[in-house]
Order: sequence, then C-alpha cells, then structure tokens
Amino acid sequence: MPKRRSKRAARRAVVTPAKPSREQHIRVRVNGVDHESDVESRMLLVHYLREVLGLTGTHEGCDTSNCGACTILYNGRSVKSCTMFAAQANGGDIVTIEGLTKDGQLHPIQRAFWDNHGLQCGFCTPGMIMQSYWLLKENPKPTDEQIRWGISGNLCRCTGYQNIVKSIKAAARELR
Amino acid sequence: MMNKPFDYFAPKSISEAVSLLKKHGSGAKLIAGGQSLVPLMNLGLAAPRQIIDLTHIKKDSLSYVKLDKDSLMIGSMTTHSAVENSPQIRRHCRILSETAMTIADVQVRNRGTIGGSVCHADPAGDYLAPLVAVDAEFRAINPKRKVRTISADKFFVDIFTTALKRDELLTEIRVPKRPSTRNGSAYVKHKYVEGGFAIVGAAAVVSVNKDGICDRAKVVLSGVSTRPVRVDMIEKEFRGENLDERAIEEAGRIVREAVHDPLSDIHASADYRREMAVVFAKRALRLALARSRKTGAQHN
Repeated sequence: MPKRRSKRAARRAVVTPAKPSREQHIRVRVNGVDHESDVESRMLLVHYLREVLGLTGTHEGCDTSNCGACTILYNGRSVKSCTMFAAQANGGDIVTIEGLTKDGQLHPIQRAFWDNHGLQCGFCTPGMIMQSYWLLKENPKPTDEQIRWGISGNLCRCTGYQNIVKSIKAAARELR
Repeated sequence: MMNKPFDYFAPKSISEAVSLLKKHGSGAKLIAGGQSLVPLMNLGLAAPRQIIDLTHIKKDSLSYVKLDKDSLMIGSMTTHSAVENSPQIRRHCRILSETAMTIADVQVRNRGTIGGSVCHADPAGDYLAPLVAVDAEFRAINPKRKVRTISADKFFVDIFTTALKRDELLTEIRVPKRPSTRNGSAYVKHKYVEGGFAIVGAAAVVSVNKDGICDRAKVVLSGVSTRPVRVDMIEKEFRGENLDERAIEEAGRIVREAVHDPLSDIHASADYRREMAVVFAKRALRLALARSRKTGAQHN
C-alpha cells in the first residue's frame, strides 16, 4: 500500500501544475492576517469569510451581484464577494469591514455613518462602508453625484440614501 | 443555494488554459471576471462540470491596452473599469469607454472583463452594438496556438452563442484607429435602473467630410434581437448626404423597419422595444453627429 501511494504522488507532482480538484488548498491574507484553508471549489468567497473565518460582518444579500451587501476589497479594489469563489482568491489580499476598525476604534467612515444616522436596519451597512472606503480612496473629494454614482451598486431599503450620502460626505471631510 | 460541485483549475498560461478546454470539452467553462457566470450558477441556471479560471494567468498576458499605428488592442481580461478609465481608449475609441461606464456598478466593473462579457454574448450586453459599429476584430487562439481573427459582426451568432470553437480562447479585441477629427460616436441605452441591462442599446458611428457631408454613418442595436442588429440601410442611404434633422427622422423610419422581429420579454414587449429602438437610435445618431462636428481627439 505505501508503495503504491508514493508512486501516485510522484506522478501527480510531475504532471499537474494546475491541479484539478473539487477541493482546493488556498492561502489568503484577510485584514492583514494570513490564513490557509482547504475549501470546496464551489464555496463562494462570502461563505468562506463568514463560515470558515467567522468574519460575519460581510453580509450575504442576493447572491447575484445586485445588492452589494457582500462588498469587500480584493487586491485593493471593491468587489462583491458573492460572485467570486474562495478558490479564486488564492494568493489574494482581502479587507473586510472588520479590517477597518483599529484598536477598538471605529474607522472615520464608520463613525460618520453612526453620527449622521446613515443606517437603520444595518444590513447593507458593511457593504456600503466598504464601497465608501474604496470610493474615498479613489476620490477623496467626491461631489454628491459622484457619491451616488459610486454607491449605485449598493442597495439600501431603509434610508432612502440621503443620510448615507451625508455620512460619506462627512467622512470625506474627516479623512482629508 | 449551494452550487453543484465542479473541478476548479487555475492555469498559469494561455496554452495551459486552452489545452484544459480541449481536454474537458463541453462541460467545461472558462471564467474571466465571473460577473455573469457566477450569478447564473448561484441561481441554478448554469452548472459547469469544470471551471477554468483565467484570473491566475500571469496578469499582463491578457489584461492590457496597447496601440500601434493602425489599431487599438485590448486584452480580453481587461476589466470594464480599465476600459472606462484607459486614456488610450478614451482618446481613440471613446464609445467603448462610454459603454463600459454604463455596465452594472463599480464593483462589477472592477471584476468583470470585456472578453468575458462578449463571450457570454447576452443579447442585452452593452459591448455588442458598439464593437460591431466600430468594426472591431476578435482574436482567438486554439490549443495548436493557431490564431484566428473574427470580425465583430460574425462573432455574435445568436443568444449566448459566439463564433468561437469549443477549444478557442478569446485573447484580444482590436479596434481600427480613426482620425481624431470629423469622426463621432456614441452609445446610449434604455434601461430600468442605473447600470441595468440594455432593453435597447444604440451605438452610432459617424464620419463627415470637411463640408459636413456624411462619409459614413453606422447604427447598431443591442437588446432588440438575439444578436446585434446592423441597420445597413442607414450606411447605404446616408453616404454623401447632409445629416440634418430630417435625415435623422428618416433614419428613425429605417430603424423601425430594420427591427422587424424584436425580442419580447418580461422587461419590454416587442412593440415597445421597436419604438425605443427608434428613439434611442436617433439619440445616438444626434450625439455622434454633434461630436463629429467638434474637432479634437476627446470628441472622437
């Protein structure tokens, strides 16, 4: 038995640079911490973050890239984690809402949402804040229109967006 | 809902990707940005047996924007965000940047790619009409490393169907460069929500001579049929004509006839689509014409 296994292992090592599998071994950096996991190929990135890493701040809304609740930063750009497989993120650098807080202190965008009543039920908020984070990184001084355009991929069914826009403007002032 | 299990491959090179495609045949699916495929899988509408991920191919081999003296070359893995913001595309093919801007939202544009979008060939996809209108060419490679060039007009065959063979991979989209003056183009679309799919998408490309007479006028429509609709009559009728408001009304009549059998679905009835095709084709023509009359590259 041991002999046969080692032969097979040797063959595998030679022929397959991209190993096919329903299971993948991935390494990702999330909020500055390195993780290694075995995941099913079909596992969505949002499920990996929530269920494997326990980072439940990233919400799963629609699964079809409509609502934006699952927005995270992947290699520095905002993406929707429900339309990526965890396996695809191998080698990637991810920031989630949990990564914005430093030493128990809310990030200025988080505080601005609090101060300006930028949320009601809070379901869309993590995605909204991650998208705002990216938006303000790209454009530190956005106009109202640029803010609305920038968050058009994030749905909020409570606020009517007025206070969200107000929060992002306040955060932009704070961050400048 | 949990997706059906599949084998995942992350090839590091184009040749490795095409040989995987050949090996696994029709059950395999290439994934570029995944912004159409993953939602379809999550909804249970697609269940590939193998997924071949192109995002781990060494970045520069398929994600680029380059220029030579005749054409603009866009790698198939270039994201919509990059198409939207590339200074070269803005300068030499403004209509494509304008089109990329109207796709979905920032997050989707950060991940979705031009190649993925055209290979998905959703009739309501935004790139279809503009790429046909600017006479784009598509380059594909097969496992024998043979490169084939397909014109945009021939590339889109039917609903979700392209001219690519099963073992071919789209590598590049080429757009012929036009002089920066007296050329204008525009893409406008009718949608229900910001970033929504095109109920009707109208692309117009216009060239005028120094007296303002039309050398070329092309109108192509997305969303109205199973493939982009080229309104050939406009190309024929308008050469050598002065494109005034009366001509634009005439173009509207030609569009109404050209769209003889429009799609009818939950979003719009056939009659409504035909009417909107007329309205949006005229808007695209007016805008392209106005741009052609301004000099300067930024209006091209």
